[in-house]
Amino acid sequence: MKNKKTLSFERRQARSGYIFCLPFIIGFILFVGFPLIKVIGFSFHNLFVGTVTYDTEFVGLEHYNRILFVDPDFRKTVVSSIGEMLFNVPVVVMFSFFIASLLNQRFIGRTVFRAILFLPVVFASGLVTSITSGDFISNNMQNIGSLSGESNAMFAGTFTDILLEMDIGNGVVEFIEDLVSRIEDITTMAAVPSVIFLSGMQSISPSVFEASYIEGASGWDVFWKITFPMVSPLVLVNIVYCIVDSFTSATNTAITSIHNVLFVNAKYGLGSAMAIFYLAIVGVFIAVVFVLIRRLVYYYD
Amino acid sequence: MTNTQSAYKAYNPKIVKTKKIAGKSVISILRFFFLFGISFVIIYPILSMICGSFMSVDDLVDITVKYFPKNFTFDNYVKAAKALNFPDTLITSVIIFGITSLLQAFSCTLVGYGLARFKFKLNGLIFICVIIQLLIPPDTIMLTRYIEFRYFDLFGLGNLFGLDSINLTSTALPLYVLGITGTGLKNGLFIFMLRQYFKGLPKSLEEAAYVDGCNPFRAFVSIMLPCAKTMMVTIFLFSFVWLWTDMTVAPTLTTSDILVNMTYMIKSTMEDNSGGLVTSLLKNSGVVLIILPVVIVYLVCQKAFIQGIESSGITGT
Repeated sequence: MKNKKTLSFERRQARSGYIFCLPFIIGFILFVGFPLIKVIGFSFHNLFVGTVTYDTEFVGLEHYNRILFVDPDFRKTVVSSIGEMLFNVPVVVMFSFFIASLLNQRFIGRTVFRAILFLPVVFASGLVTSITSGDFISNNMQNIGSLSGESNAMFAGTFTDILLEMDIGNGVVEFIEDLVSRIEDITTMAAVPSVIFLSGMQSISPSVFEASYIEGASGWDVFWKITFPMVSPLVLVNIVYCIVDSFTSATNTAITSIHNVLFVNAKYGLGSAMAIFYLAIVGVFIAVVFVLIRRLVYYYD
Repeated sequence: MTNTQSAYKAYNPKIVKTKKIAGKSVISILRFFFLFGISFVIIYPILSMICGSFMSVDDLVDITVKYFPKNFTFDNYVKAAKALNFPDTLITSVIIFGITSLLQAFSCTLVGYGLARFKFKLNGLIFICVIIQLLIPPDTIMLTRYIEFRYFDLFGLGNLFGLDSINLTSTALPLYVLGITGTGLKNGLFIFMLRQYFKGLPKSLEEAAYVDGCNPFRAFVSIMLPCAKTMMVTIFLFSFVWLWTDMTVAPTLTTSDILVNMTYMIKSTMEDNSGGLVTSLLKNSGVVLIILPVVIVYLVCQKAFIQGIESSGITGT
């Protein structure tokens, strides 16, 4: 009697679970799974869109052949977007950790800075850049503002000279210059990770700090021996977030070139093939990262 | 003698105190400069856009004008507002994106709750589907989604009865359909956040309700929804803001008079009609007009945005 009752409760639970997830199940099948299969189909076809229906023409592996062996640009774009990701992720994670530990201190104007640093999230979709790109004023203004501009070229030159004088190697100097010129991208990407780090830091119980200060630890000790180890699992979370973010963001060069081929040049078949190719590469990459990180997490336990 | 003096100096509490204060103020000055610099990098494009939007053509040619226009003018705004058909498109965008965000917040809460609190066979599989949706770049499946809605035909039933397919993209329906099924823009992330959030809530909340004879839906509506209210507001805000500035999903799937579609008008028609200088002025004021509502929403609800990320379980398990 009792056994039967618990079983029926569990069953009822399972049933209501399905009902709660029903919208997503339907949506995923109709608007993610089905389109994905269709895109794979389209990548083997040429597509002609009419007013009432659309026609397809089977071309086999032609589009893939074109991407892999004929078209010189797209391969380079994919490789460069992966390279950019590999460059950005460690920099962004370190930068956001630094920002978070700055914002974790108490000082006047903290909320204002936090609000400003989180602002790029609002413009994450690249509306502003896509409208103003190739724009006379913004180009002009950006030249004035950025280090590569005319008025600041002298400063940039001296800065580089000082670095070169310090004899720390050309590679390092180039790396620093690269970082400076990318500061806008880096701050944009670091918005969410720094909030994640910040909330992780604030969730450490204050009694731990109190105890260590009573024992005579300095702020430096506390930072490296308590704050850093406590937050380190979040490094993995942020790495995954950054990778996914940089692969799927609308400002990614590979994504923009796919978008252009699909919706500006209206080459639907070729665009689908490019999208599938990119998705496959990204999928493999993310799978590798997941496996590596799983091991790391296991190691952390 | 000198030794004892220096030792005395090192342990003199007054000196130690002033040293500490000096160190602290140096750190706070450095911190201020660093944060100010980073904030400047973030705000600079917006500021330059705002400055540029008030300039007249003369100011653009004038080398001495960099930021603050000499001939201050609202003319660009008047023209841009006319090109964007402003009050009407603003209202339509707010209505369309508001409804879509409401639907998204609601459906993502449902699915997140279902995934977090119920044990059933396909739970893991559905969660993997959520992750897959999170990972797929929206452009990949945008074409087939567009075709699905452009030649809408429910499971080929219309064709069976000899009816033509319906063009749904002339309305905002595609956005609503995607919203209610939790497959819209960034909805994978929202479901994930809500799932983690619900996992973090104590289970005893509903268990008490079950003991008192509630069914799962009643428990969800009267116990869990009030708990998740702030989180739902955050999700609503996020999805509203992201839809507003999105250049892929909304403009492809609907041709309604939303602001983003109008920006294409600015981009294409204005470039033909007038010279490059005038266009760029108009673009600046147009962009300011478009992003201003979003910035206001962000500044008013700034706390909700940041707390949403903090209270979602992303930071925890």
